[in-house]
Amino acid sequence: MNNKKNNKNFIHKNQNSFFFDDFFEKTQNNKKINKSRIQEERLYVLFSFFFSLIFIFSISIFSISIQESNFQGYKKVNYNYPILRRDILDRNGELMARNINSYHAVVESDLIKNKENFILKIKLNFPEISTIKLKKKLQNKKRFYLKRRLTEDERNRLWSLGEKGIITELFQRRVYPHGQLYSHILGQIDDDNYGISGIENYFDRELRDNKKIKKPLILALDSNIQFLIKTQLKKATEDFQVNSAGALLMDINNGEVLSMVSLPDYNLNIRQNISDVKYMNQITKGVFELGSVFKTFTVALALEESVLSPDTIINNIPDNVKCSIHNIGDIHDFPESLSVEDILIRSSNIGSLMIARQIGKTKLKNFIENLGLLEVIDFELEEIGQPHNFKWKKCKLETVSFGHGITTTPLQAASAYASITNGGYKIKPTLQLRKKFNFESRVSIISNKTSDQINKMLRKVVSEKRGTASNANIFGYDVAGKTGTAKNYTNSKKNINTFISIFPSKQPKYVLLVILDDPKGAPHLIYNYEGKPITNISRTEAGWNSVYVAGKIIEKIGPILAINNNEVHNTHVVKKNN
Amino acid sequence: MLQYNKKKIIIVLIYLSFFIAIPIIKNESRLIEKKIQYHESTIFILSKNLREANLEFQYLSSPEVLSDKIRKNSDKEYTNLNLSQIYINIEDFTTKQKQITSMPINEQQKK
Repeated sequence: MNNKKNNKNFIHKNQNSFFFDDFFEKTQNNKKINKSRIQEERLYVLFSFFFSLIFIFSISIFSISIQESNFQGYKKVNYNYPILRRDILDRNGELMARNINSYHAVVESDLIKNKENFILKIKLNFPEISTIKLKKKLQNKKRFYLKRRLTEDERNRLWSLGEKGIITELFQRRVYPHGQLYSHILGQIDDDNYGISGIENYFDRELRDNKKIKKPLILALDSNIQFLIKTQLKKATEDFQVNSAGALLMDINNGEVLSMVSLPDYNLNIRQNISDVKYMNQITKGVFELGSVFKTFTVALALEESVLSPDTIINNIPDNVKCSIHNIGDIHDFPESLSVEDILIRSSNIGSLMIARQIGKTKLKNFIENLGLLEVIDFELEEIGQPHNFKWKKCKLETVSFGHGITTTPLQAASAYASITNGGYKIKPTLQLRKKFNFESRVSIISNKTSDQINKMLRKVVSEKRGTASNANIFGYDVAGKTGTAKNYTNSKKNINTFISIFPSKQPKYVLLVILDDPKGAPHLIYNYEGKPITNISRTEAGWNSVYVAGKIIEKIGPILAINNNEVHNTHVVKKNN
Repeated sequence: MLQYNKKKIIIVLIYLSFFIAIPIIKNESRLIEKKIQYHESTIFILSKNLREANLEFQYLSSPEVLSDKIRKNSDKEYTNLNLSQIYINIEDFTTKQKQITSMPINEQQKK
């Protein structure tokens, strides 16, 4: 029993079988296994904990790394240079207008402790600022402009005052490096950078276009030529004591305007109110009765319609023609018989009238309209004049034939001359540089033959002794043209003298118009008349002023334009590669 | 089993390489950004200076200012030359001079 008990006691409660086994060892092993399982589980927990930590960190690192850094974005704002308006360049790349940063001086009244001292300082440094007004503003306003558009020197002077109540407010201003040279073309902008006149107004949207802001607007104008023409014209205003003057140089084939000068002018960089009419753009806004320059249109139409030829003799030309209440005559005595060519060269009013009568009213009217002389011209400026409306009543045909009773702008007259002398193709004047010009798209107004005939006749106006424009016969440039002396329709005591020239006439390239408002005689000038120097001339017809000025201009600009002229080709003129 | 472990190892290695590469790239890109920013600032200053210098040049070289400067500073008085007075070279000049001087000789010969 005891054995049984002992046997029973001998069997361990964990013993599963009666097979011999190293019980102790097994138990120990089991204990170890159990322990290691616990450790392994702990390890897994720890591992998963650290793994999830690493995972979270790696995700956060990844998300940070794919984010755009604030660093770059912040700096981008700092280095942004927001130009609000595009540059304007001339055809040679010379700068005509550019926006620059400038400052207004603003006063914060509350920040100024010693107001009397402040007023004294301002009085000493800026005597032009009214002390009374400044005192009132300091008392009544918290913030006001002390001075707008500061110069660099003024800004430095303000800083040196050491007043914390003075704040400089950044704004953009437009600078015109050529000052007065393009005053009638470029125009101006307001304080908010919007164009208010000239090119600045016409191309306002384009100039403010953000997509093109770094690309300049290129114009067809040439600064060197503009300056030379302006210099000569300014000299003419002194020599002939004229109130206002204008000149226009245009490419005859594509209508690009290389120069447009109108005097008097003004400095674009200085803001001022101008109300005097004489400051208007004489070339585009001025509407004038241009006189004899219209004779060319009458003759051109007669040739085109084959009514007459250049050699056709018109007999029995009277000294005077009575038409309604008008008594039409010539300022010089001419022979009774003149050829059509002679009528143009000598500028006979009665001769032109007789030619016009042979053409007829309807044809002349249509031709003048086709040339675009009576409509408001489509041009890249806001300052455009409107030719006066009139009805083709009795005597209108007669007076229009020699340029009286009809008004137009000098720009339109020059364009019409370009159309007649370039082979007969109508051109549209433009201030923009034309990179490609489709010559095939041009509309023909007159035939090449008529155009050639007119060119030869206009050349004779300048080259021949009987012509009215021999003062413009500049050696080497083959100048052709027509003069016009007319009464100013607003004041019949004053003359408007015009000369429209074409050069070189054998292969016309440019049309130059010079217009002078009421020129006086210039006895001090030495004219080169038919190769001889003459002086003490007090005549006031266009041949003695507008023509003389045009000659001087052509002499100056000819070498720059590099006209390929037969007379001096490869001898004296160095060709410029355009 | 071994293959399964290999896959695991590769994934872990890739993960680790990304884990190491990301901060390196990030750091490098930050340095590059710094350089870009430095160059941007230099470009900005240079372009601003260029813009101002260009404006100044355009003003100073404008025909009006140049002619004014010449008038004020030059003692020389410039005169216009007719085209007939301009010669391409010395030969051209001598031929033209001969033409002028030969005229009276020819006239004398005629006499």
